[in-house]
Amino acid sequence: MQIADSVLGAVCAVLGAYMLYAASGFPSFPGQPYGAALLPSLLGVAFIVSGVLLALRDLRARRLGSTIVLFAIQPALKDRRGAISGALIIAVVLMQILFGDLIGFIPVSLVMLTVILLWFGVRVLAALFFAALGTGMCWWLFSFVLKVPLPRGILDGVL
Amino acid sequence: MISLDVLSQAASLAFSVQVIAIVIAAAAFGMFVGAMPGLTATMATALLVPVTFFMDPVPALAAIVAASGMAIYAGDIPGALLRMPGTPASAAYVEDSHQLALKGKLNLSLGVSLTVSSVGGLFGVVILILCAPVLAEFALNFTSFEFFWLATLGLSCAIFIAARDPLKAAVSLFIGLALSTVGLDPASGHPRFTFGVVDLLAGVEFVPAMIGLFAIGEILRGAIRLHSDPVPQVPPTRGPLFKGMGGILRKYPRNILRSSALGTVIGALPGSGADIAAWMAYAVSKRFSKTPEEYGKGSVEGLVDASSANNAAVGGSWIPALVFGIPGDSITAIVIGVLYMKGMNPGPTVFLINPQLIYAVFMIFILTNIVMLPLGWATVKVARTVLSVPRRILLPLVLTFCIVGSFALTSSSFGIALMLVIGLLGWVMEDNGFPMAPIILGLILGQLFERTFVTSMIKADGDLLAFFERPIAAGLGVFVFLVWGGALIGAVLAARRRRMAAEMDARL
Amino acid sequence: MTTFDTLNRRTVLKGAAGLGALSLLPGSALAADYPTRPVELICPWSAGGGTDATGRMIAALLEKRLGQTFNVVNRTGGSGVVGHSAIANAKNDGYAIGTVTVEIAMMHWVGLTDLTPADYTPLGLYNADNPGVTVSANSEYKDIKALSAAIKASAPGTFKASGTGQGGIWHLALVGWMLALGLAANHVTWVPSEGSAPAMQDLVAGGIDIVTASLAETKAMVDAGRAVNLALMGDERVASYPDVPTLKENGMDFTLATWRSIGGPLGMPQEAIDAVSAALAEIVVDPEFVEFMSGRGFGIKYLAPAEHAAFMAQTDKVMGEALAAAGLAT
Repeated sequence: MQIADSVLGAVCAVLGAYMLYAASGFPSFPGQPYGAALLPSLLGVAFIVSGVLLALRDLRARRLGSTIVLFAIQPALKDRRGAISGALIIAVVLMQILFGDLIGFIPVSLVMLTVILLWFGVRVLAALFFAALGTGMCWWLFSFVLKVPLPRGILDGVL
Repeated sequence: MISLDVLSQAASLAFSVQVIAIVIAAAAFGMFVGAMPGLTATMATALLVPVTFFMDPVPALAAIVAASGMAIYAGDIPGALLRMPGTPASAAYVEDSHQLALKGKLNLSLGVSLTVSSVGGLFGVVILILCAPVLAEFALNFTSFEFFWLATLGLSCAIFIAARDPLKAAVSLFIGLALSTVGLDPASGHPRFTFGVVDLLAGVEFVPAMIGLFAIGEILRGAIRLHSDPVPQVPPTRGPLFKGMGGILRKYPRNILRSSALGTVIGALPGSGADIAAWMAYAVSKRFSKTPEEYGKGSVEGLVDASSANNAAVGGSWIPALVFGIPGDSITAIVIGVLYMKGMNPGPTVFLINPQLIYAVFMIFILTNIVMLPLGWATVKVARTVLSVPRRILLPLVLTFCIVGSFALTSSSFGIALMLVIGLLGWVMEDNGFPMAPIILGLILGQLFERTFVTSMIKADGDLLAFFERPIAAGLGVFVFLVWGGALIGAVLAARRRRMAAEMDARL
Repeated sequence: MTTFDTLNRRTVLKGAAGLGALSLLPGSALAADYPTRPVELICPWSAGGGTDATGRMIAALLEKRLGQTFNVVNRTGGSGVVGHSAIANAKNDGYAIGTVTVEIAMMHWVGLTDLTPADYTPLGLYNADNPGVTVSANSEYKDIKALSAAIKASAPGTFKASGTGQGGIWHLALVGWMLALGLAANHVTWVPSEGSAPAMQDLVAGGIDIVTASLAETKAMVDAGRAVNLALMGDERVASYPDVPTLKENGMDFTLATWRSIGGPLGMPQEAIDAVSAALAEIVVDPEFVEFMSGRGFGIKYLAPAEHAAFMAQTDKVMGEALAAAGLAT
């Protein structure tokens, strides 16, 4: 995703303004002009300045005659398969965040890994095998070897 | 000096079958954890604590020494292969090691970092053994004033590392710093930018953020381009790993020495560890290199410097931990807990009360850095076969490890959410030419920078001159100004030259 | 798949160690149906710290008595808010408990959380420590009387002290001491730090004058001859430092303690409460535990659940007053 410097600069400046605004509400240290607001305020100013500088680049480029594209998407992402692949990666992570605790790591991981492997063009048996392998390895490594309990979810009573 | 009797006792403790077995197992574990994007050296150590709980002191510490040292090296492997640094300490030079690998020089890239890691690690250990009390004494002179200048110096590294687009690199650094302000303010305890989310009070956990920036970005790119336009892969490489290493060691002896020394000292300073050591060594290396233009495009020299520094820091960070019970970095913070747990209370007395235990640990340190060579060789050999696994299978599996690794760091799905959000941010930023490395630098140093500034101001009652009153602080402060002054003058001169050239063009 | 080789070697070893440890565990006759699967022990502080270490020891000993794994889970950050929230919000089936520390009686007063000690099922208190007054070995003040007199005679803000963050337990120790001296709460400036280790570093490096932290935390530097404990803010002297006088002995009526306890979310099943608290009562007199605690310089103080609840409520009140006096409560 290519975004024009002027847009990025605007985002920076807005972020900077927000940080300045938020920092104005932070208490300063008793008897000190410095405190929680210091670094956020400095950063707020820094973001605004660099945002303006970024935006100026576009203006200068336009003055020199180049056309500015505000927003461009790379070819791979325009390709529907590419977009779906990217979305699937995000979906895998999201499913684990949303349903990992409720349903458990194992079922979510098994299903999502199988789906994504199939989409990537892995044959059914191989996809099932690698999904089981990846899930099993993580579960075994973390729950038993490293003693980090992964969410059990619906398998609570079974494991 | 220590008696032969103590040394022989130490040797019999260190070289028992049980301890050697544990060292090898822990080293293999460290290699695995370090080589897995999403699992870090600090994590390897934290995860070993419950296991070491049931061990005797020497095997317990041996396990930690072996695992942490290996993990720091192994972090270079996924960095070179997949452009995903395995540990934060490898983030500084991931671009160089990956670019080398893309050019078909994977063996050179990994061979160099393995060899100099071992050399740097040994250097750190030797300093630890010989100079621990002296260096600890030096570190004890550091108050918040000195640490403030140190943090500023660390942030200044960004000036030297930022290559193509200084403005965008600066924005990246600011974003890293801004992320570090999330959570409870280090001084007053006031919550900032938490938006009412309890988990955000803890701030942006560093490791999920790094996994997001590097691994998630890379996985997304890989997935999106999988069908149409695959991401360039590291070509399969054969041949001996250590070929030409003698030449490298002969070519860069001064770099190795300089960076090992720098790494050891930075490791020995409380609160800064292998990651900062790698950054500083890389920046110094680029500054004094005859070929600074190669940095970021596959510079062997930068790799030599940064990679020896981060392993030297491992030994260095034990110095204040052993002598004064002050953690040199996040790994030794855990080590101190283990020392207490085993009744080896840190302090100068640790060398007097149970000297055989400490010297046994030192021997294991040396052993580990030697074992690193064959074990690293084996790991690289295994890791190279990763290349023969098709991306369509590898990407989902690595993604699963990233998810679980982020989860493990916060023990909640919050870590995963953090990884995803920062990963998406990083992905968009990188597509638009913002470098990732300064974000990490800002995130590492932000809190130290802010905390030391505010506490120094409180101590000085707001008097800025106090930052130059102590000798070391004054020295560091002047140095920082020289660095900035030099960079500014350089930038102004370059700008003037460019403008004059432009005017000439216009006139012609 | 490429990593199987390394994995196996390690796991074989770990597995063996784990089995060895498990086989030593005698079957427990305490609770019939609890626990039937691994229990999580949530620790709000990071691995290697005092709460983590004592928590792990307790987890190991609980495991021995109750015959199930007790996994210590570190939920760190936010000055303990994150972990304490995780304990209070955990599923109340008895399979998630945690180490509840003194901070729970403080955080809500400064507006960091809504949680109070009343939001936990108390399962037993196991540790309490008094802070000391520690100065650098180079300090010109050799005893607490001289230091107190010098502080009284000084202009406000001359002396600087540290030990933890703003409004942390050791900050309150300083505030209490100042109030006992009849001075303003901020007569000695508090320099916030990220825990006692950096504060001790700053003390020895000459950046600050005083550290108020537990004797376990000052131990390394004191043993190294770099720092000196001048006083203890407890009711009586402790066995590990018989030469350190209390503030009370020197006419300053102030005591304070940090404490650690085991607690769970509200509404836990009774059999789980009974099983854990009964086991904890045994653990605090277990020689293995006693030796561990004294080795690290931690005091043991046991309170059964009922007294534990009353104690937490009382601390809560005292902390509220102290924080208000320090001008930190919201």
